[in-house]
Amino acid sequence: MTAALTCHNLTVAFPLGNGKKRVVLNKLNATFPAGQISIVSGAIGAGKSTLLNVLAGLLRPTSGEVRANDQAVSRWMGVHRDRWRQQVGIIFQHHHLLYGYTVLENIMLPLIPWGRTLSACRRKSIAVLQQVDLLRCAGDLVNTLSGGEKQKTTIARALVTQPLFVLADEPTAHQDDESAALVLNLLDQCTARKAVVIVATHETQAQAFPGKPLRFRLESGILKPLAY
Amino acid sequence: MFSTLQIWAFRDVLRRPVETLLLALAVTLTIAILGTLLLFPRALYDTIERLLDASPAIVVRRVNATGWQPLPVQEALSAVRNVIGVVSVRPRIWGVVRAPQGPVTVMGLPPDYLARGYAHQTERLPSRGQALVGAGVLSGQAAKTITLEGALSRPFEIIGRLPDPTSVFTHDLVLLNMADARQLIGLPEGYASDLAVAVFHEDEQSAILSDLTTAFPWPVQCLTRHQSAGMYASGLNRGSTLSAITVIPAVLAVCLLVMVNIRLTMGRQSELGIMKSMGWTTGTIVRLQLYRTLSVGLPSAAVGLVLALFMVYGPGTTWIGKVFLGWETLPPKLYLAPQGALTVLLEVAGLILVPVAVSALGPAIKSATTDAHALIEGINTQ
Amino acid sequence: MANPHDRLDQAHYGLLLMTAVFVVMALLAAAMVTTHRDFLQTTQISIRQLNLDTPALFPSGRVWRDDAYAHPAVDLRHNPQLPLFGFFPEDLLSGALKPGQRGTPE
Repeated sequence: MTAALTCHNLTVAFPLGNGKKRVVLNKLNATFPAGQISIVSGAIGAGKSTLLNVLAGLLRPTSGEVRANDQAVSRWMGVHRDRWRQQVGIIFQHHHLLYGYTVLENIMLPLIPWGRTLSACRRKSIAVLQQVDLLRCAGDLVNTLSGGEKQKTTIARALVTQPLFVLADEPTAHQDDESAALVLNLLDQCTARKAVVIVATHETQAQAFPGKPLRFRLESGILKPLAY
Repeated sequence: MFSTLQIWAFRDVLRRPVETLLLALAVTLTIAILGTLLLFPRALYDTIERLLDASPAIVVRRVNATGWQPLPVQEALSAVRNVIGVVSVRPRIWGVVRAPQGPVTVMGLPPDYLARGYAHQTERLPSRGQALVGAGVLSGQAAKTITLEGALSRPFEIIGRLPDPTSVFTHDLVLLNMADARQLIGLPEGYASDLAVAVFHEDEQSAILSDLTTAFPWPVQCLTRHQSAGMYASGLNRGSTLSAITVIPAVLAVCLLVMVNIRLTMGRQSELGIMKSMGWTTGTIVRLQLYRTLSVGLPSAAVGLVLALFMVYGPGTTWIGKVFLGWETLPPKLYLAPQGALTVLLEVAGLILVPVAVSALGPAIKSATTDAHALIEGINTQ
Repeated sequence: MANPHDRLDQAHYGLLLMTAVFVVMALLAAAMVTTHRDFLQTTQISIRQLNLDTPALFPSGRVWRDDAYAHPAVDLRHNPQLPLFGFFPEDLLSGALKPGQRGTPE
């Protein structure tokens, strides 16, 4: 069975408080296959982050469902959705790092619930830090990092568990050309191990992705596939 | 020895060292104070209850319309001999006389006192003109003589002090030679202050009272150990009620601790959301919160409990008696009944720790029903 | 040597310290129980041998430090050691047990 993440009539609407609702995603149908990067582009406020949050199980859809490997993960009860999130690596647009911890400790965060020893957690985290070229900052508190370094930390944290589903929200927004290329290369390596990789980004940055990624455009709550 | 999660939990505690220290201090002090207030009456009760077990079963006094009368010893012994249930009878020579710091109880040592093995507890027994004094008789002074005023006024050489561990019973006691005691009290030869009666069976104390009363040719009044215990119990209950009232500020302190803890924990909702997004289950988060609370709470509670024990039972802890009972001199050592003390201490620890732990767990459990996105959003909207 | 990139080793040592504190406190409490046991036996021996009833004056109620109460055992409820707490002071203050009004030794 080939891994894939699919949406069926996915709708997300936020209440506006006056009895009305703002529909962000409107009956989305899409399939994001494994082994290939899928890029979702759109203007600011189009709902790209909302889509990733729903796919990652952080937000419940108003209607419709998300299926991962033919299992309706969005319908799962809380404890099972917790387990679904263990298979997902999410790179937040706003980092969402834990302040007061070092870079290495932030990267170890997804490994703690797995019950591994501290030394095993450290080994895996340092390996990922080397991949994102951030080992020099391993012992620094995240409060002291630049925007680009924080984003690299977020990326490393998302990839440390080698997840089968990688969801990245503007992963190269604060990176210089060299670092951006490094990040794209890392995402490409994920596809090499048959992970589902979905990237939400602006139109201009979408052009820099290597290979032949699938492209979608999110506009007015509707997701349209684009030709390459 | 510790799992990765437990170590992580303590690492989380170290992120906010000042808050943690304040919480630990608050828990320690609240438990120490509440423990002391609840343990003290318990300690008094346990002490009295245990020690009364060794006291005479019945004390018999001769009385008339005006009150106490000296008791003719031979006549009394003859009368009691025929009462069924009485095992032994000992006449007591004692009275209350004036001493430099106030009234004290003088007691004449019985002739066979040494034979009953008390000698090992004192260097020597008092001869004529000598006295053994209790800890509170001349507290704060290292005097070598004491002048006692009764039927006459006489100085006595202090040859020793009664052992500190016995002070709960000997605090204001002065032991004299039998002849000196008689003179001081004004009790003639052949007479005693009262009789100490031992009975065959504890439960017979009240049962033989009527026989005992009618056995004497003159009116007597009998006081049983049970009656004495009852008098003390009623007095202690009064003290216990006062102590119980002091629980109220402690409960308020607990409420404050809980409120502060909830506020601190609710401020971490966004962090819980991040953890959930990283694959932490609700169960793992709840365990993390529990480890965080207990890693600080348990040692703090232990220190507080030992402090409470020390304040009630430790050496030189005078302030409790001074503050709560108006004691003016060193209080005696109190008996530590492990079972009773343990019950009180566990109740206190539970009263404080359980609400604090629940207040830490509450928000974590609440996060189980909240979307991780909603928890994280707390960051974006600030 | 602690890992330079995180503070988890310090946390581990901190946990060990907390555990040590807990254990030490437990041992202290146990030691206090042991040392107090001897006191009871000593006092019980004294009580038996002196035929003392009711505990000594728990030091020291203000009421009892009144010379007016210095008199050979005159009162119906007067014991070798004066009892403690409130039930006596009320009776005494009310005049019901004033010494000197009762009989004296012949």
